[in-house]
Amino acid sequence: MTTEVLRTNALRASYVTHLYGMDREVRVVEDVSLSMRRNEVFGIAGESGCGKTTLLKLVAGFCRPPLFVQSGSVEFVGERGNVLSLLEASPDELYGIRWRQISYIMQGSMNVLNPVRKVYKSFLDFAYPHMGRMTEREFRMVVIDHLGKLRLGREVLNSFPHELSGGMRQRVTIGLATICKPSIIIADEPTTALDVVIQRETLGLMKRIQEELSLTIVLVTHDLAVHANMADRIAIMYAGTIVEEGLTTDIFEQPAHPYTRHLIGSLPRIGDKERRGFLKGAPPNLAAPPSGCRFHPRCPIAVPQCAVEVPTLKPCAGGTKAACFLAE
Amino acid sequence: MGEDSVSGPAELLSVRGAKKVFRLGGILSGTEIIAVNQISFSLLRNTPDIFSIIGESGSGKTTLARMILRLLLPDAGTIELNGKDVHSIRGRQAILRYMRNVQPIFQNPFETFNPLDRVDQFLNETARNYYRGESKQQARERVELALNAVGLSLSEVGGRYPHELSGGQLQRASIARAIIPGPSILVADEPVSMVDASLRMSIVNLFQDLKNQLGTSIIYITHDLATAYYISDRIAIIHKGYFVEQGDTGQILTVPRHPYTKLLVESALDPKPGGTSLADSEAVAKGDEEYLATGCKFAARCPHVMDLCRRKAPPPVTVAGRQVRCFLYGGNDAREGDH
Repeated sequence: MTTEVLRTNALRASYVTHLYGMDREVRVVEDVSLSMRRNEVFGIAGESGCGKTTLLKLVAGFCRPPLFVQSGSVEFVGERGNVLSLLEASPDELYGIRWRQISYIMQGSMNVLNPVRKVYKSFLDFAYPHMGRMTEREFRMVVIDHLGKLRLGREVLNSFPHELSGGMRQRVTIGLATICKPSIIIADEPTTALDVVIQRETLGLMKRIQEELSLTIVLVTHDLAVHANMADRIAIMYAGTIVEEGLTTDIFEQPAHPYTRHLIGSLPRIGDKERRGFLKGAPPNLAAPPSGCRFHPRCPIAVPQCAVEVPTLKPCAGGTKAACFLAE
Repeated sequence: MGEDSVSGPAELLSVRGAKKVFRLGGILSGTEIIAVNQISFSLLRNTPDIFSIIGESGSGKTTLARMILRLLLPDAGTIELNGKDVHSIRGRQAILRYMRNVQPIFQNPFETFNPLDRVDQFLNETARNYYRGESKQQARERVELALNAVGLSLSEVGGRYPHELSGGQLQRASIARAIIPGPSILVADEPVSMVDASLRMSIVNLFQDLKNQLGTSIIYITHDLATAYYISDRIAIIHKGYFVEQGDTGQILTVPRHPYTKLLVESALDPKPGGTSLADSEAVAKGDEEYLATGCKFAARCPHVMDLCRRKAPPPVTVAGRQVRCFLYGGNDAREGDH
């Protein structure tokens, strides 16, 4: 039985700025309710500027001006069923959770290691304070043991990042994120702009670690080919709202929302030269989002109702939940 | 088109045995890295072509692109445009003529434009630089024409700053800039690696349209195999400076022969749930140390490595309608030295 480990309830957040007496509100996260379970890869897909990274910040309990939460909550469910509201937690409570329960694999993770510190020092900086009562000697043994699982030798610890190949650096960053055996790893575009060979290696390693430690990975990327191969469930985000959510197989086989259909239909594949279509228009400006369904100006099947009313997620025949009046 | 493109050989661009060496370290103790080695290919004048060059970062892709753009001169071998060697191009007029024929498209559209200048200002400037003596009105017409070709118009981008346009519009505008001088070749170095998946298709579709409507040949440099398969006619796989396999795109990507091409094709993710096996394996990605290997640069991680591969660089052999640099397919008895 899978249980929840993290959930957001009707979360609404926006960036608010006051500049020269002008108030500007950019509504980036609009009514997002998600539930992530233990031991799964939960994918969030969407184009750049759709609010993916902001949603991740909130999920990690990181909310600082100019980002404000209007309503809703983010709740972390501990192993014994204790619930912690991340947006209301004190700094000490958050400190106790970060890295031990929720850790990160950052974008461009090949280049996140401190270039002037040896790899072991990075482990000391990042992970040692979160390891509880432990001498440095014990910690070193734990690190060596952990890197062994990632197929890295102990000589890596005394290397500078530039002495390692790209694939090894990826392994080190994954090692950093998993050494405290967290229950959730947040991965923000972990393999974007990586070469194909390193990409597959990295994803393979993340998948194996996820299965071994029974963790939850929240995987955010715009690349649906990555989601297809990694995620158990996917949420598709458009202009700050979740437009469709469901099992990966359902989303790929019977997408109900026109935006999802477009995303999946436009994927290029080796062995298929058929001309792919693309969406007209540009992603909406979130400071003045379109009325009604935020996708309606670009939607190929929009009806007058779409410009007026806001659709909510409803179950569809294909097994997914989609926010579209025309989905069935 | 340049004035000198009226007569000449059938080859528009011909690269023969191009080589570029970079030196690392001091004068006495330095090492040499051959970033591009013995690369040969050509583009024909009368059949516009999309030629993909696929490789990992650090494989020499960009060095090759810079040589084709004449930003770097090859240390050995020749690069000829319309039968004229790049080494023999001297003087402002000749250089301008070369640049007019071969135009670059850059990787990151947000960095292509000066953030403090309006986008149309930049396009106008390009038009006036390449067509000296024309009136402002004529320059504007050329800009409008180029923008129309990429699906934009002056009324959309006129008077706007780069931050006011979306990434897709900016990448289109930067392609419009490249086609203002009427080039016969566009060199696009990783034009889609920084943009979203949905935008990616609109850019590669645009390349196809430019090829079909304007007859422009495109050198498409990328590490994304799926889009290369989608748009290109011919392909070359570059590994540590060598073209290890080159030929017809469909043949190479569906039935790869070189072990490195096989590795790339296996690693490309199939966009279908569970389409690619993600079994965790030994690290096979390697850094730049492969450049220093004598013999075949891929030998250190090749599953079919033989003794010979570590000693001698394989010469190109023709197998199944393509060129492959691998001893698995012969080339062992080649008399002439490979270096």
